[in-house]
Amino acid sequence: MRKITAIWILVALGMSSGIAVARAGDDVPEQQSSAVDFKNDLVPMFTRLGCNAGKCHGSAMGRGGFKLSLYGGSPKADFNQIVHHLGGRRINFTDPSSSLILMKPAELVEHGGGTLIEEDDPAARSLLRWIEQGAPYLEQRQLDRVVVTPSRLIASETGLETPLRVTAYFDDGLHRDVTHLTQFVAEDSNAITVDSVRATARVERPGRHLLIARYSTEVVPVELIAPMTSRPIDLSLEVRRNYVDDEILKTLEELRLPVSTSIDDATFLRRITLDLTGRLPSLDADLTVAPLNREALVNDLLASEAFIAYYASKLSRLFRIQSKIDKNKVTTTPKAARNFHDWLAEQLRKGRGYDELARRVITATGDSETHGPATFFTLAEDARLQTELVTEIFMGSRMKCANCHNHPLDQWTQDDFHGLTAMFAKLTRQQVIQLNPIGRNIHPNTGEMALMKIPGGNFLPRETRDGRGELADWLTSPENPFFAKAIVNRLWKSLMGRGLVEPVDDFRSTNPATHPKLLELLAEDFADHGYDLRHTLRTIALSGTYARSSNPVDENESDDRFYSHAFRKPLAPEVLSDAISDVLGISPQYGDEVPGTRAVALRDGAVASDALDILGRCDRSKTCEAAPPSIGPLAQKLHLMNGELLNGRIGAEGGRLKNLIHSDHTPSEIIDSFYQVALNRRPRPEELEFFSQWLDDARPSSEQMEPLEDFVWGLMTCEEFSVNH
Amino acid sequence: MTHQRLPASRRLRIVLLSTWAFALTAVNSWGQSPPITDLAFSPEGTSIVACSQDGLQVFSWPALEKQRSITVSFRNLHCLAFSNDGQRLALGGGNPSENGGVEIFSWPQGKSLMSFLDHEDSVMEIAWSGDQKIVTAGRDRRLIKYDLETEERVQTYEGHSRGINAVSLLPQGAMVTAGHDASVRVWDDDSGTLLKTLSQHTQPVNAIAVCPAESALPMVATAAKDRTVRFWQPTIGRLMRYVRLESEPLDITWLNDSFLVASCVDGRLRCVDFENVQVVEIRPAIEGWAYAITVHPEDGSLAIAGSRGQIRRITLTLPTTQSND
Repeated sequence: MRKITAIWILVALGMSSGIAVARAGDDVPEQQSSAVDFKNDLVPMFTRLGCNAGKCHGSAMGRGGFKLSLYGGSPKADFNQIVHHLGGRRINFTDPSSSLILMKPAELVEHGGGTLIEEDDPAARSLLRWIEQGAPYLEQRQLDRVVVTPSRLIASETGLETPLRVTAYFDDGLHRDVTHLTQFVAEDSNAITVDSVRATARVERPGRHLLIARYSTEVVPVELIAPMTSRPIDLSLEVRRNYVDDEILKTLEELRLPVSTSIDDATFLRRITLDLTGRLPSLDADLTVAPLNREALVNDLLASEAFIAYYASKLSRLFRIQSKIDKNKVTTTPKAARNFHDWLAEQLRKGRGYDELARRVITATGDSETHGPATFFTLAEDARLQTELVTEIFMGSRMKCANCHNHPLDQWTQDDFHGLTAMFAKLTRQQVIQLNPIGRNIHPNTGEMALMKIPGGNFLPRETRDGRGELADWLTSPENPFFAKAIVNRLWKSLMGRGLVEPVDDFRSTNPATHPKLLELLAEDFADHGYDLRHTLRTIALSGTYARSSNPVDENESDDRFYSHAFRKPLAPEVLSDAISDVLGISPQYGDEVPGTRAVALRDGAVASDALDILGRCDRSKTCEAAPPSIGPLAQKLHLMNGELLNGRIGAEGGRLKNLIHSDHTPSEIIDSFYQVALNRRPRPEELEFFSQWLDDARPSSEQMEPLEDFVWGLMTCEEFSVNH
Repeated sequence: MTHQRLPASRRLRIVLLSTWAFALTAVNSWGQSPPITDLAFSPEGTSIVACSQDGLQVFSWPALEKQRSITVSFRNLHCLAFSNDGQRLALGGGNPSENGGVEIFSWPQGKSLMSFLDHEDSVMEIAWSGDQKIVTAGRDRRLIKYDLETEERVQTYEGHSRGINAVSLLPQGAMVTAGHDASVRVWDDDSGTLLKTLSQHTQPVNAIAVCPAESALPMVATAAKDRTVRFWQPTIGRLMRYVRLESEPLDITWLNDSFLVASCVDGRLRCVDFENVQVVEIRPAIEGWAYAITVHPEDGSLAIAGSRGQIRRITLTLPTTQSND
């Protein structure tokens, strides 16, 4: 009785479709004779078959003269291509089975994409039925959301097959099973095997893997986890200093990943000092007298000028500050670049909330040489690049795909991209930033002026002169789902070596965080504490997770994202350059800067420096978010081994080695001194024994210059020095 | 879009004089008529022929009553053209992605005289060169010239990088073509040499129309998916001016030396003043895409056809210049 009632409701509403549709809780059988819904039935089918993928007809130019929107982002345009384009040649109304749109994928005529459907496939039957119905454009209901079951699965072992079920929920309250219309793509096809016909997935390797389910315009990530080890583990006795530890340990237990030990005070001192100030620790602390008060140390470091200098440098890199002199394009003068850097440092010094900092940058106008944040609008060459920069920095999002088509893996549409660009098009992009009433952005789809739009939100009134205030309001609202997460994720990466979302500028539903709850908590905590960067850094730094050793144990060696052990972080080029200078006692010259200027204190990314170039500094003309390689490029290694960067300074007059020799230190004392300043530890007996083969304390150090230089060279090129571990 | 009020000295009177005549081609068993892809008035002006997947159909003019159907060899028909002497009708089309060709009928008998099936995809447009030669433009990127007297293929033109949608012959021995590669190309009709490639369109070009004005340099208009109608002196490679419409023009035809009408994707016709490159009139014509428009050689009335087999007759007073105020 209940089923009959449901059917009658559907018939009465005129909402029946070719595939089972039901109200929640009801079970309505498939109705093959009813109208085929172009948007909800056929477009997903084209996606599932791969027709509208970027490598096929979904490419920017289409393929073979037939262009579909990427992954069906514009169903109406696809309909026109199929039904109307070229005189309607793809549909044969007099003989539907002879239609090109049917014959091509069935390869009854030559088809570059091969055979995609057989004559008796459900897909072929749907297409044929649609043509027989007159090939109408039907869009009977709007998709509200898609739910994949399971959305997250922790398998007990590898090799088990998991059935997948996809349900689409529509705006009229109806839902239906669309598993057969859903495309499943494994992020790593070696880790997950997908059977598209049976709609099952099998995890082939231990670890956390992603499967992307795509139905219509919705993409849903499915997390499939196979434990790393066979036995359950108990981490209840591990140190839990705050919610960071709770979330990290919870995941590790699920994955059955044991944790490495905690680090000693000396290692913590080196790690946190490098992470918060970009410097090697001073030799003041005598850790043999009393245990280190880690909380006090973190607070001292966060309050230091060194922290301000280092994090101003990091923000400067994030904002891609560098001077550009080009008479034909936007110019960022050296003074404007330095001015912006100084302004950022000043915000850190004042403890300005990141929300307010962002607001002041986004709404800035004025002379970039006198008003620091105005420089922001000279850094991108045009309004579209400015949109990319703003979304990358403040939303951790790569919106540039939406310049040409709706983002295939995210929610961003062309309207979002060009609506945001319309705001920045209203600015003069010269030394003095001011409103430009005639500035406009042409929407490539319409050929008309794009209206300003809040991403994912409303259009602003046509008469809006400057939409940046509304943008800043939306962005810095506590409800904004991107702003706080984007920055806390960067802070997390800064200390932990890997973002919870990685890459850090690629937030999207199909690239979920390794620890989504932790990211939520960090963002909420950040907002609750006035968007205070120091608060979040302190929270992370004082967690037990941060203080975990970088030495893996047997069963967590392969962990590269769950923080069962600390990740060894190569020192950033600027930090490494300063560390080399601090150890050798001689600084390189950076451009025209005052001699002795530290690399992290450089206020302009374009300052000339061979040292920084050799060490691989980021070219700020494009994003600097890509993780540096764990092993530097060959050229860098060769420079360190053979070039002047080290060799020209190791034995130089006025340097640390020469000074120690001149003050009559023995070779052993020199070794001990260099170990402490470079590695922040004393040499181990076996290390001393090793060096004793070449160095003799009975002879003056001045007579042993060559082996001493070799020792320093070896120290400076070892991984323990160039990595924060 | 350029759609502004004209100066008084050039203000026009474009008046819808009569109610529209309307016809639908045959409806199939699913209640659907295929789109009409091309139209032409018969030489005597008393009927109009239309082609579609239903073949060739002849309607009376101006009543638009169906008179007869003629069966054609191809599955899809895209173009038709009467010979200059009015005694033959060429129909082009093909079986999509398989082959394309042209079939020649006697007129008014409608008897098939010959056919050629040399293209590897549908023929999209035909142009007569005198009464004995035709040039066919294909989706296979080629143009082929046939001599109907010898029934031989005499020339193949290659150069377009994608399918060709339009071909027109100019009075002085040049040929203009345009297509999916967004280019307009000028050829030496006799030698088949490509003379010029005009690249200002940014999207596929749908149609070409030669201006009837007699001048030293011929002029053509082209209509493209970029929503522009561009006016050229193709033999010297000069883009004279252009106008952007609100909707993509699918076909164009000149009303006289000064005005051109376009049938558009939104089913409307738009009249463009060439001199001022302004749209001076927009009129609804059919529902859906209007693939074809043609002007009656005698009375200047228009026939527009397209989606679902619709044909409309619209009678306009020819634009005239007013000299008041």
